Amino acid sequence: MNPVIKGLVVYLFILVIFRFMGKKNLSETTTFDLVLLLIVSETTSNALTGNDYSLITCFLLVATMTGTDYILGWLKTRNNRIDKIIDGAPLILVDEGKLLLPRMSKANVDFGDIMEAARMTQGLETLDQIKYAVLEKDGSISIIPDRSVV
Amino acid sequence: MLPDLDSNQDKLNQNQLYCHYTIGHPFPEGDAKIREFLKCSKIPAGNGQKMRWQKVCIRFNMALKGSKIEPVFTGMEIDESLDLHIKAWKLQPVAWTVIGIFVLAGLLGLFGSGVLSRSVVKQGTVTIEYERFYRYGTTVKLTIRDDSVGTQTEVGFPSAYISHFNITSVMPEPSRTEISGDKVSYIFKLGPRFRTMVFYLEPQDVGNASGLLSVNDAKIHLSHFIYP
Repeated sequence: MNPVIKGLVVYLFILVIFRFMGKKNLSETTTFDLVLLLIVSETTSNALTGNDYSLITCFLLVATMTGTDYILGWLKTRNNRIDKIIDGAPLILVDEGKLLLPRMSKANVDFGDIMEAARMTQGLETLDQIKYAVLEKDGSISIIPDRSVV
Repeated sequence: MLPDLDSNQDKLNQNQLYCHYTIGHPFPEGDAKIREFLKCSKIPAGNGQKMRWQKVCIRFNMALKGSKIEPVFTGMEIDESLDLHIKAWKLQPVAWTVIGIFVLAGLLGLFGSGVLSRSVVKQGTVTIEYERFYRYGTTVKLTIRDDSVGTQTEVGFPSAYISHFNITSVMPEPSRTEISGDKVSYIFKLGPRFRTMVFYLEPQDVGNASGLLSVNDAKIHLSHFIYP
C-alpha cells in the first residue's frame, strides 16, 4: 500500500480508537498502560514500514502524519465544533461540593479519582472543600477549592 | 415573529458559549415558555437574566436530546458542550461494539488464520488445505496431499495466480520445475509414506487472488482475499 495512504489510515484509526477509549484512561498512565502504549507504537510502526526501510518511506510517513496533525490543528483553531469533536470538551463533575454522579459514571470517574486529584493538586481533605471539579480535555481532573471552607 | 438568535449572540458575551446550542434548532412558535424566555433574553441585563438565558438554552437543548444528564450552572467560564458529551456517550457503546465485532471476526478468522478462513478441498486422491483470507506480507501455508499410487506428482500454478505470491519455500524440494505456457509446474518425487507437499507463500499484493491449481490430473479452483 502507498505509504501516504497507510499513514493516513493509521493516523485516523488511532485517533478514533483513542477518542473512544475515554479521557480518563489516557491521563492515568499506570505501568500496564505504559506497556500497552509501547506495544501499540511498536505494532503500528511495524505495519507502517513493514520491510521497507527506505529513507523516502520514512520521510513520506513522517510528513503524512505531521501534515495530518497540522491540518487537523488548523481546522480545530478555525472551528470550535471540530476542536470539541476531536479533542473533547471539559466536563463538570462536582458542583458546589455535590457529586454529579450520572456524569461521573458516564465519564468513568469515581469518587476516589476526584479526591485523589483534590489531595494531589490542592491538598484538600474532604469533598465539601471542593467547589468544582472538572474533567479536563486531557483527562486530568482540575479542582477549584471552596474558599469559604478551606 | 421570533427574534434572530444569531444577532443576539454577540450581546451575550460569555453566554454565547451556551447560545450556540439554540442556533440551528428553531424554537417552536406555539411554546409559551419559550416565547416568554425569548422576550426576557432580548436584552441581557444583570446576572440573573444571563443565567436564565443559559438555563433555558441548555434545557431546551436537553429536551431535544432527551438525555437524563442535568446541566449545571456555575460561575465558571467553561464551555462544556454538553450536547457533544451526550452524543459521544451514546456513540461510545456503538463504537466499542464495532471494535468487539472486529476483534471477534479476527478471532474466528475473517482476516486469516481461523475457522472461517481455513478451507479443505478434496478431489479424488488430492487434498488441498489453504486459507481463504490472507494478509499482505504474511507467510501462509498451502498444503497439498496426493494419495495416488504414483511416485511423481506435478503441481501446476497458473501464472496469473502465482504472480500474487512470492513462494518463500517448498517442502520437500521439488525434483524440478517447469514452465509451460502460462503455467509454472513443480514436479515432486514422493515416497509411498510421504505424500504431502507444503508451499510457503507470501502475498505480494492486495485484493482477490484466484486460479485453477492442477495436481496431476485434478484441477482445483483456489480463491483468496488478501487484506492490506
